[in-house]
Amino acid sequence: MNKLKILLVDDDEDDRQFFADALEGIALNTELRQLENGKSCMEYLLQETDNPPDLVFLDLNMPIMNGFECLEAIRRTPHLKDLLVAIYSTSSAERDIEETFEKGANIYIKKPSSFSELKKSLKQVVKMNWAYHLNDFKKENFLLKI
Amino acid sequence: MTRITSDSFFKNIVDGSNDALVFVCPNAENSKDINHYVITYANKKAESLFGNTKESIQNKIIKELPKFFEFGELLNHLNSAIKSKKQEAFNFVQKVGHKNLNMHFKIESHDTGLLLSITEAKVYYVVDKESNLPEGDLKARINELEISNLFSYRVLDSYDSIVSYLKPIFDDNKVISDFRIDYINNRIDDITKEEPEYIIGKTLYEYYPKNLENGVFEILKKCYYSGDNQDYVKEFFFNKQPYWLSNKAVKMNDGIILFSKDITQEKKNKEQLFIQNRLLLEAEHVANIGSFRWNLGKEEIKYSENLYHMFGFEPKELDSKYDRLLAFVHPNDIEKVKNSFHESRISKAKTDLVFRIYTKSNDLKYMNTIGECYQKGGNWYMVGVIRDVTKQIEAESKLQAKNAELKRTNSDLEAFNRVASHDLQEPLRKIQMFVSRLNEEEKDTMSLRSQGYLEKVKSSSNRMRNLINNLLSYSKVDEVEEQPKRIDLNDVLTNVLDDLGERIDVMDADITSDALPVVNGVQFQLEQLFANLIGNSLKYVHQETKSKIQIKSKVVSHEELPPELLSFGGGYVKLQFIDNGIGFEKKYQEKIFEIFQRLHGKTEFSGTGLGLSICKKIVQSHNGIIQAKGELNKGAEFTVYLPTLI
Repeated sequence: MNKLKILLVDDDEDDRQFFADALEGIALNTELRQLENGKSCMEYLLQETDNPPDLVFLDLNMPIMNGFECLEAIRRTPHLKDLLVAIYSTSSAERDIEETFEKGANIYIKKPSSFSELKKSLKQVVKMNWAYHLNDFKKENFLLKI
Repeated sequence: MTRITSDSFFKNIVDGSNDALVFVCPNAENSKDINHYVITYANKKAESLFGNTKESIQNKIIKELPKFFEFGELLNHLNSAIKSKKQEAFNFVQKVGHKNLNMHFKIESHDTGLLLSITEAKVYYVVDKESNLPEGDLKARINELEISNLFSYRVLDSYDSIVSYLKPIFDDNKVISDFRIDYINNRIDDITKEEPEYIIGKTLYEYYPKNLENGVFEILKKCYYSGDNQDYVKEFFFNKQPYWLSNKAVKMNDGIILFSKDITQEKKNKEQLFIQNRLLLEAEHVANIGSFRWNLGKEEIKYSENLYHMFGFEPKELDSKYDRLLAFVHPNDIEKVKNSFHESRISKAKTDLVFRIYTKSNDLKYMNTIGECYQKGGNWYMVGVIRDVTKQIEAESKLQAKNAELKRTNSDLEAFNRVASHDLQEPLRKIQMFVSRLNEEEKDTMSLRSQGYLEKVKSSSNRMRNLINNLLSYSKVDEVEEQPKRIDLNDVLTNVLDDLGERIDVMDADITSDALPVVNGVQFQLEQLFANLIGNSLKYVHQETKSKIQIKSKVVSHEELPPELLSFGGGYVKLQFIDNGIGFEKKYQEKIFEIFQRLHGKTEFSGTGLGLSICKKIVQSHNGIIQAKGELNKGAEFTVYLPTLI
């Protein structure tokens, strides 16, 4: 079975570490690549056309190119328009949730404040039945509930 | 009854009158043959109107009068009057000298001829049918006419003033004690509704006793003794109505002729005008406005009194030329003012502008002028008001400054909210994350003391998260974009009790509630309100007593409403949250809702000091009020008034 290729785009080193540790902790068959901002994310995606990630975790508040801009760029690029994008942000502002939903993100994960919760969230998202989730995709299902 | 037959009396009347009186005689007996009229008598007024100073117009024929030109039409009227022997009246515009006089002629058939009277210019033509009489005979005829009662009375009665003749009455010391009214014409009837016959023969004292007190008697005496004409204006009362009479007393032989003109209406108009002017002046003063009238063809502008005051001057102290006004205008506004007035002068359009002036004492003032143009008698005028708007402008700019400040404050607050929501939460979340990892992964290797410290870090960071969340929800109460809906408070309560379920179970709290109403509101806010109030009751409990919370609901009548709600009208529902907890001292009833107000130390009870502030804000945004009532160690009672559904 092929490894699930996960791309994490987050400028915060600690958060990337939490993420990596949590992913390792849930011991699933995944391969993680980490990038620091939207710009490097886009460069990577446009370069790796033959080997795209299966799932992108996108932080919103980042320097150089933020998550909103990156999300827009992804959806503007024809071969990336169906790429699974999970927003991964500290913000729980309704405004941000709304905006990323409108811009075509697939799920919104609020960064948890405990490690066990993080592991729970990641497990849920990685093992998610995406075909089912996207089949009946509504705003109510956009924000991940743990 | 005494008749005045004196020659000089008549002469005095006709010469003293403002009317031109002229006798004319036709030159032929048969009206067909008449081609001119000879003036056989003219009074002073007629002489000055139609003649010149060099020679009298007497014995001249009308068409040869120095100042009388259009004879044709008048001749027709005179001829027709002679023919018909009836009265004729007509208006006649006559060029006299350089003036056009509109004269109303009245021609009347007379015993010995024809009487023609002209009211407007008051020129009377007396026509004698006799013609070609020798001069001596004519004069005799005129004298005969002059002493004719009928004639005198007609002349006097057609006069539009009251004319009376007064004869002095002397006492034993040969001093005038009163005057006898020997004659009065029937104009008196217009005022007093009395026939002259009723008055003639009475003394002044008998007829109008006040005359001996109001100065009139003295004036008449002066006229009699000095022989000088006396003019006076006095108020008289007839039938309890005030009348203003303008009088002229003329000494004549052994009596006085008194001409009295009714000027009541003029006087009233004048008074009215005076009052109106006075009112306008006061209104201008009160409103801090001035007015002006400007003949646009000229440079002169007429200012109201208050306008001078507004510029710091005494009325008329400043000459009112247009250029002079411009000298007070702020240099940067001169162009604007010039252009606006120039525009109005040309296009006659309304002008409305604000400009700055320096007053006489060099104060800077803002003036708003509004002027409108109108045409009258071929000239264009602008009338307008100038209003001192300094205070308004200053207030406006203060308001603008305040608004700008408020905007700044608001954006500061927004920035703060952003900081609180993201930038503060970010590091806090990391602290909590590390704490949770330590807790999960390293706890076993830690000393008990370290574990204790870790617990402290954990609870402190939890507290901080609560604080941030509460602060956020407090600042967000007003920002809710959700439209109010019909909310069943029973559902609200159920949801809240579900959320608090674990705590309620643990504490074995006893919560009872009336059936609750449906109100207009925002669901999550009402849930927060209930959660905070019930949460408080669960928090501030006696250690030893079982917690009891009672929720009461009631639609209140107008009389039961707290005074601050009376002005809003509409019905209210009263919700009471009553507990048996530790309560609070009465003096904290108001303070308890203030932001960050904590009645207890942090160690005794957890809490951020924001819960009730949030409650108050939520209730206010639902157009209601919240009140607290407490008694230490007995319990607390929170009352919420919310508008009922309409």
